[in-house]
Amino acid sequence: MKPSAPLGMAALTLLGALCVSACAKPSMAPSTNNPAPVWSAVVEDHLQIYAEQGLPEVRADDRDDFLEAMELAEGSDQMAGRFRSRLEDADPLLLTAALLAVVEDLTAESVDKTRAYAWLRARGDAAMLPRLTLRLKYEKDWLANVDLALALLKYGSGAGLDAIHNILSAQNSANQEAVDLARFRAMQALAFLPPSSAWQASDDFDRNWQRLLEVQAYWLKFRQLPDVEPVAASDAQRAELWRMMTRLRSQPLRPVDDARFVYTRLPNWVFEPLQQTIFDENRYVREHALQTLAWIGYPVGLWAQQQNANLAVTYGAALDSPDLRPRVMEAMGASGLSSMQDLLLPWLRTGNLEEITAAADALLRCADERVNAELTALLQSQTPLSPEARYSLRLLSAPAETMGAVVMPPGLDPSEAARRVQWWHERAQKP
Amino acid sequence: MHLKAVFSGAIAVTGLVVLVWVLKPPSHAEPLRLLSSNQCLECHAGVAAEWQQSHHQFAFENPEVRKLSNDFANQECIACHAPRPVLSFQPGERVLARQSERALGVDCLTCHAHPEGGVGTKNPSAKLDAPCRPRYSARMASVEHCAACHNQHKTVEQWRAAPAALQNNGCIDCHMPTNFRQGGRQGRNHAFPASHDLAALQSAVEMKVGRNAEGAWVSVYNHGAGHNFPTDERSRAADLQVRWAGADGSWGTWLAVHRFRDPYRDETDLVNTQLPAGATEQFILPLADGMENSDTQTAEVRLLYRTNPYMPDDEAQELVRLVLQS
Repeated sequence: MKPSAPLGMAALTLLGALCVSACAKPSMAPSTNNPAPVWSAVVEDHLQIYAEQGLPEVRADDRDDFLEAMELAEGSDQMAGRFRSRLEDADPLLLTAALLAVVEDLTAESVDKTRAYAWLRARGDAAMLPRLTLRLKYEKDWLANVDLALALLKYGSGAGLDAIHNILSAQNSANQEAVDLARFRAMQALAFLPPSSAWQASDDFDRNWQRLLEVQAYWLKFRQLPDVEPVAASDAQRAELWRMMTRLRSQPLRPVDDARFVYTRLPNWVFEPLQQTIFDENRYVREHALQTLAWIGYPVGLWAQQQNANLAVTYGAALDSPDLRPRVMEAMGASGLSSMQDLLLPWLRTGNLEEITAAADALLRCADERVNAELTALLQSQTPLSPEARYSLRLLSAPAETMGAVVMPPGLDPSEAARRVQWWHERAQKP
Repeated sequence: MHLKAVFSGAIAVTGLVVLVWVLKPPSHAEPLRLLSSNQCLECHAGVAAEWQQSHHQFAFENPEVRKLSNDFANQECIACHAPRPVLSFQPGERVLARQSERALGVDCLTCHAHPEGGVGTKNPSAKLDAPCRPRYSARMASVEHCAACHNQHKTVEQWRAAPAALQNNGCIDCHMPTNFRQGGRQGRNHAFPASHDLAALQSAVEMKVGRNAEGAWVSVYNHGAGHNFPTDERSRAADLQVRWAGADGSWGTWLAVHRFRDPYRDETDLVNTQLPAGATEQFILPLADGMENSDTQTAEVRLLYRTNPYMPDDEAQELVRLVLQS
């Protein structure tokens, strides 16, 4: 029997090999060789760091006291003066927290809200910026919006200027008296725009209006105000910012949407915390932080250039996570930085349908002409492309003068096509 | 001896080959590299035809959704209207938006794509060698699978709060009833009958009318929905209306009796009036101008269902209409 042993061994080896081959799972997606990034408790750690900072919890009694004081402070007699002093001498953080609690209360009387906005504008602490920015989403009252915009402007945010713009552009309405009053207040508000060497506040509405447009455009591009020395965020502001980050974990979407609304409207000091947050241990926090950076778009790229921040390193590290990859690519493309294209191009060749689509969309927003040869080759190859990817690549590789003639692939939703055409047009603003 | 050894070896190898053949998973068809739900249509035309009729198929292009989401400028809405595969999330977790083929809405891969490859199925006897390589997943039939999207407006929470008898039905029992496709094959209906399906709506509630000492009344009993009526979007509304016959037999105008609806957040003057699962509510019918009591006149009562609260009566679905004789 001895000579049969090697044959038996060979047969067993063969059996093992065949079993391994037979039981192996079909691979459906390519993967990177790099290890997945390490996630950590980014949000929790920052909540600990800033635990003693930020706005305090407000008791109902405190809130009611301030409400009463605001009402009694409105007269011109001595007693009114005493209540004004009481409000002015109050702890700024406590006063701010109490007034925010009033304006955030859906059931509060509108007269109380109006007073609270006016006092926030006059005495609110900078820590109010995140929560006050959220009021832009929900506050419908025009007069309140004027105070809201000015309170934000005071701390370096132009997020409320749209409201001023809209009030001044409003058509006549059934409630003309209210419209006229709001317009009057909005016109007065223009005097608080940051002055420049070419503009000082005056009674010349046309010049003031032009300055509003300039400031709005600058704000949209850089997320900071022109002709103003940028002010670093205070610890109290950062505390409020990180507290709001916890909303990104939420399963119901409204808290998530609220936080994203705020982060897309805060000054550019929010970009760094958002980039830290893309490595948080919570999948939803990572996703939504990246999505927010993508929604902000080119201002992030411009900021990175100003700060010499290497976004390719930050995003490149996150790109090694398969779950997160399409969202990382979206943020990379939205930055508009052509330095991202070398990280994106390989995914056009080796990615799955989602990754190819994300890479194509991102390239449409950030790539320069160096990618053209590769795109043309890809479009002529048999690589399966989604309608979205195909359209993005066609737009990107088409000469500018023929852009209008780029054919929409079948199966592409018209709104998705429109989104990509808009990205193509926005390329003119690329950093 | 040498020949014997060779013979033994040959027998051993043959035996092993047979063993491998038996152990090897069937591979009659090459596994598909699943890229798109369009690949599913070839083998599953019957299911696809049902899905084509569904609001899942319509999820991304539905003009009503476009209007409410500001044409998806509210991008957070995309997550449930063009989601990534649900099985790549933990049970019950909210889904996130996908990048590609959004026009397909809530498509085959949304519910079936398995993170380890192939597709998930709740059918334990599925043909494992099919090109899409089905694999059993208990989650496929679970409420948690649907919760990934359908709890955004609290429908699953409402179901969890429902009486035990109604909780015996999971989502698929009502929204994916068993049906028979061509060739007698049995399966679950992928048209997902729900709020756009008159029969599904009608199976949720029972309406009765009558008179008591307080006057003529109407009652509505949510006996069929395992969740509130109406549920899901806050824009959904169901209205009870009454009209009275005049002395000449002609009908008066429809009068509002009650609206079942969860108001939008900023409608602070309204409260949630949805009808919970298993609950009955009764309302006294309002009289028309000039009427003194309801006993002497015939009334007609109807229940209208609207997919948005501003939808005119003639566009709403009439679920039931009853006559209360004088």
